[in-house]
Amino acid sequence: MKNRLLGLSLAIALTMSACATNQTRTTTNSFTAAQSSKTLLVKPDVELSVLMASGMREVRANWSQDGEKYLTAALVEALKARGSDITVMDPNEGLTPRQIQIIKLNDAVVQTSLIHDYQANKLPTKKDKFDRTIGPGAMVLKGSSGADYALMIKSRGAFQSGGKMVMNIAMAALGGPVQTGGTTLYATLVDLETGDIVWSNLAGAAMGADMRKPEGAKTIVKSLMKDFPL
Amino acid sequence: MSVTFMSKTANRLLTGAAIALMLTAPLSAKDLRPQDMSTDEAGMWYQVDKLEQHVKTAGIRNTDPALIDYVTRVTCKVTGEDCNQIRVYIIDAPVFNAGMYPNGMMMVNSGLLLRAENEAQLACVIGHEYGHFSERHSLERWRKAKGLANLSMVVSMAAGAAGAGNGGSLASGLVSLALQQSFSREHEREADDIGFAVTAGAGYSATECALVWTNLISEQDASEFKKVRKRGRRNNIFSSHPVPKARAATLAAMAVSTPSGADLGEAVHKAATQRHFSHWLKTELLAKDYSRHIHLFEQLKARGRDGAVLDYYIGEAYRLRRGEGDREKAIAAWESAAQQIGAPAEVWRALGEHYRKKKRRAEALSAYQKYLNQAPAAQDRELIAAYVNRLSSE
Repeated sequence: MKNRLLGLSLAIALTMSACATNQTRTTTNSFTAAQSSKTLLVKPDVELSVLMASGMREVRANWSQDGEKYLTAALVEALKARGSDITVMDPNEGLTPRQIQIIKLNDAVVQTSLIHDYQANKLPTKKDKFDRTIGPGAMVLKGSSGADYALMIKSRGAFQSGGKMVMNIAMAALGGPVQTGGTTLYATLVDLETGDIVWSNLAGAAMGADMRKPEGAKTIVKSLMKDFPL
Repeated sequence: MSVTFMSKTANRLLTGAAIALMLTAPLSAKDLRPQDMSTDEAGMWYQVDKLEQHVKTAGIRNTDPALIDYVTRVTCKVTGEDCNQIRVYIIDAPVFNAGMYPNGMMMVNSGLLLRAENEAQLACVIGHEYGHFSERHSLERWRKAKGLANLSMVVSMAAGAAGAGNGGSLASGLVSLALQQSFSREHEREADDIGFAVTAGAGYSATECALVWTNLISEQDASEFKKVRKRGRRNNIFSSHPVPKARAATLAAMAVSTPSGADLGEAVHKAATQRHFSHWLKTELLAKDYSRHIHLFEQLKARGRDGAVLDYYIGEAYRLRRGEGDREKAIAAWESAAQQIGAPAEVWRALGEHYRKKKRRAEALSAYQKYLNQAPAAQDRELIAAYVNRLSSE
């Protein structure tokens, strides 16, 4: 259910991605970026689909795997260029149950954040602040990596099929609605001491920026890292 | 063996022959994992593999190795060589259900393990779920949905062009949903056939398959909610499953025409689930459908399951229902539990509370003391000890 809601939120965000968009939030809690920090990059959760003429989406395993691979590589490169020391963590391998629960907790907070910080459902108590946190329990994610921060990313994308392109041309001619697909990313940077989400970005990839290719993934990451505090 | 597109009558007539065939034909042992990663099927596996990671690490997953071994052993008996492609996960959820996913993930709810009378009944449900897996029903349903969505798109565009507006697109949407659900019901029937066949093939008494449904119907009939009571009997064109009553009748008819083994495995089932029995009863009460819970617990008692524990929870259900005369029924159930061997410590606390309120000082003291003796680490120990002190000095 939770994942379905997330899918829906990301799908809504998909409709507004003609050129690259970034909606960043920086924590309103006290925060100073550590000097020469270590960052834990949790392998991104990527699902790329084909957008069919009828409007249904069908996940493509090969696209999703390529997307995950190139996005990870581009993120590592970008973070290294910023002088951050990187450890890539595969959430499906070798984590303790407690660490897995922390990643699941981040997912739950991300879900709430997407609804209340990014859509028109601003909570009265959160009007002028962005103080989302997963709590100091986030520390257990450090493990032996000694990392100061964890970067977690979810991405959903859809690419139109040949049939959909024809359909869109017909619909445009008739003045009806056109669905072109697109790629959305939601990234959170968690301070592993406090658990605070110190930065987050709901980003739409530019049209044509395609993470199924190394170059496309680099373009997406470059835009995604806008206002990145490290 | 796909009987999906045949008429219902043809389907029923063929069932006997199909079962006979399945009893003799060896089950497939090929690796079902798709090799071409660009297909719709591979995409489906990609998503389900991710879901499996979530299930594997879920807090409500029951990780008792003995219980997992038991359910896995039953699964292997009914799925033959395909067993090596199936991974069993037990979920502590008070709901009668099981599910199998296209990548071989099998989920079995504790609500099913609690209700199954024996190994054979568990085998019937697992066999049914395996039927969805071996016939790749998820994939067929997805492909059907795609086809219907295309059809619906064409129809609604045509309706739009003809000036029917949104009504046309709504109507085509409803028609395609109805078609999709009828397809799903066909799959359920086919899985019932397979479930029956593999259960019989494994030497179990397949007569038990119909009982799974009649037991469920009698439990639902006891519900306090009209919606639940209706579940076993009525259906509409948007239902995803056939009516339980019809499934029970079909399975009972199959049992008459197709002989099966005599294995029930009642003692084994009891032994394998005993460790969790009390906890599962407790979680059942979370559904707050107390009349239904009382019916189920009485059924379990009649089957000779742990009477002391059941009487305690029957008392709890009455206490929580708070209807006319329920208080007295709760006390009677607890007093009955207290006289049996293996009564849970909580019985003494419940009785202590009751006697204290009724000013039966000596009985209250004795009950509370028994509670403290039997549950030395209880969280409410301090509170009960305070009552004991007060009662002693009165």
